Amino acid sequence: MITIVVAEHGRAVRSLEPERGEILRLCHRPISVAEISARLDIPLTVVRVLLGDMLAEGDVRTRASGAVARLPEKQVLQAVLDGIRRL
Amino acid sequence: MASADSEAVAAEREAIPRSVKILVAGGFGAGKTTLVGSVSEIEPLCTEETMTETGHGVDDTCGVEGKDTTTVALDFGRISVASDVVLYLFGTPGQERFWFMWDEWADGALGAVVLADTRRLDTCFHAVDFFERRGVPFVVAVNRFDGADDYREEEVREALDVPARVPVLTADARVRESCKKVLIDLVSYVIRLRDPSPHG
Ligand SMILES: Nc1nc2c(ncn2[C@@H]2O[C@H](COP(=O)(O)OP(=O)(O)OP(=O)(O)O)[C@@H](O)[C@H]2O)c(=O)[nH]1
Ligand SMILES: [Mg+2]
Repeated sequence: MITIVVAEHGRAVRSLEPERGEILRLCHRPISVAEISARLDIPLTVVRVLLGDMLAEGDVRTRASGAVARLPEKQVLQAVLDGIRRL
Repeated sequence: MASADSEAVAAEREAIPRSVKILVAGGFGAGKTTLVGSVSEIEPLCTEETMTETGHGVDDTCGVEGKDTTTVALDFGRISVASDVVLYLFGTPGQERFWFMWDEWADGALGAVVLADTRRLDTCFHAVDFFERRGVPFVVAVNRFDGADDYREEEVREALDVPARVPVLTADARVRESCKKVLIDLVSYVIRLRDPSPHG
């Protein structure tokens, strides 16, 4: 859900499924799966499937798996705390 | 200049930020969406999750499992807390009938805010119970609605059977500073749990 994906360099928007083209455009900057789903109004489940294909074909990449499920380290927690304080 | 710019773009593309999430749970109309909107740097977004719940009445003879599909709306906001860390806030429908989704929501969550609506305190029982059992650190934010009985934090703690170590505080989900305080208390609490030094 909060996995962040980004388009691979030089991946042109091909005329495959239109949804994949739109996802690729959104992934120009790192963006979370949940945000892709909300911005394109495509259910999360569908976005996951499309991204799975795109990952397999090298259109996008994501942080190493496990990075999301693992609990954040202390310096990440501190960054979160400082960031909220700065709001 | 142009090359410096493209280098910067390339560097940005190389680094995928770390994402962390905080859940905001509470009963129907407790102020979850309001809280997310108060602190998010983007308009709260809404997405739909389709969940397949394996039914109980499995018919062995034909080998087809009975399945129910439920669509649940999730709203979320984003706060870029550092150049390489993004915090997501998820307002989660606290209804018990979505219990099968809770595990996924809770997976990897830094912590949770349970919004307690003093008009209907019982509606957040399930959330308190779930986070307790799942070991997700949480704070209880007592949302004071106009015309609701004036509960003191201690009364809420008792009514919800919240352990002494869990922070209980009063909040107004419509007020940004109040929501910030809730999040700061939550993350400070999570850091204290991780490193229980007296000076922490
Ligand atoms: N007085 C008061 N009203 C609030 C507070 N927080 C939210 N409200 C109001 O309560 C109503 C419901 O708030 P929401 O944020 O939509 O609640 P929710 O938990 O997202 O509701 P559902 O998603 O429908 O379960 C809105 O009209 C808010 O303006 C609060 O702290 N104090
Ligand atoms: Mg809501």
